[in-house]
Amino acid sequence: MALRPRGLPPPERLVVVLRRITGRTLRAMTRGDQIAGLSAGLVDTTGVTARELREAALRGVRVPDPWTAYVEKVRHASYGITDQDIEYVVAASGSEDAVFEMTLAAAVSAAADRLEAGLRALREAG
Amino acid sequence: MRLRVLDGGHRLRQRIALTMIRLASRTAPDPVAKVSLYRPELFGSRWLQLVESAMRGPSEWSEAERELLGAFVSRLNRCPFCVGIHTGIAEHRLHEPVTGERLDRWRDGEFGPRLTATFAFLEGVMTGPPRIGSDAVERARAAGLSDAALSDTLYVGFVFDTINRVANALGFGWETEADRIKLARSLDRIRYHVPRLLLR
Repeated sequence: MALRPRGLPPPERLVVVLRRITGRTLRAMTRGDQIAGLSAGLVDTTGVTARELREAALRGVRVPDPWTAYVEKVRHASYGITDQDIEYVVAASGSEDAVFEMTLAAAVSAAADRLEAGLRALREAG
Repeated sequence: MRLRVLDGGHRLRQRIALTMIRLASRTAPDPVAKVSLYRPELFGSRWLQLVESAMRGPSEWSEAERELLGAFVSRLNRCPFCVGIHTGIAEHRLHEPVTGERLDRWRDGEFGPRLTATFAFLEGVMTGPPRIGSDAVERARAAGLSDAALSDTLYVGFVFDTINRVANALGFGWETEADRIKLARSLDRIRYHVPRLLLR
């Protein structure tokens, strides 16, 4: 018999309660808010790359070299990215962190475009 | 992993967590965890909140069905890592074989009318033109799907559409088939929940 002060719920009950609280928090913030927050984090956080560069990748507009081809590949053909592609942008930018930041911005941007297309179809279907 | 900073560049708190994961699971930590715990204020903190909400939050879709939706999107995006992990979770939950090849045969209808209609909707969104016709929505509704379920589908799609690209670009993988199963089971066990303490 586990020693537990009277009136205290068993640990498994505490886990259930905590999950309920977490669930409420998750519901309280809409998923649209969460995605807006995700985008804001990618742009507003201090990074190795310029804020404007990350913002451009996130908005899906053309970014300057050495990022042009890489960002396009992340957006449209990520399955084709090779070790050499990564080595090139790391060498050209001089930073793995820069590649990390631009990869995330391009990936979120492409996914957000598709999400928006789906949500628009849902709205237009009435 | 193609970026070395994601193997050894984490801050002390996150590095300790990854070491503990490695010791407890006796396999290399999930590359998604490595990405999420690296400079978490940039991406991982908000990202994991969204993932947990989409995959384990309230929804008309069961958790196993959401795993199938995620694996399906990953298949469309040709992301072998995510297909392997999420078919692994679906297989474990559904007690039936779930593979990428079986997902490719979705038009046969063996996943049932609701999922078949949803796969068609997702395929239109993921591979179609920037504007999706409302006929795809009408067909899904005719199969009994509510707009809430379709909206939830799109957010699951967003989660995978993002991480598939990151996984492909940065070279996510596992060492052995046993490691794949371990990673899938671990993710399912923690229910996509990472303590907030690790995301600061």
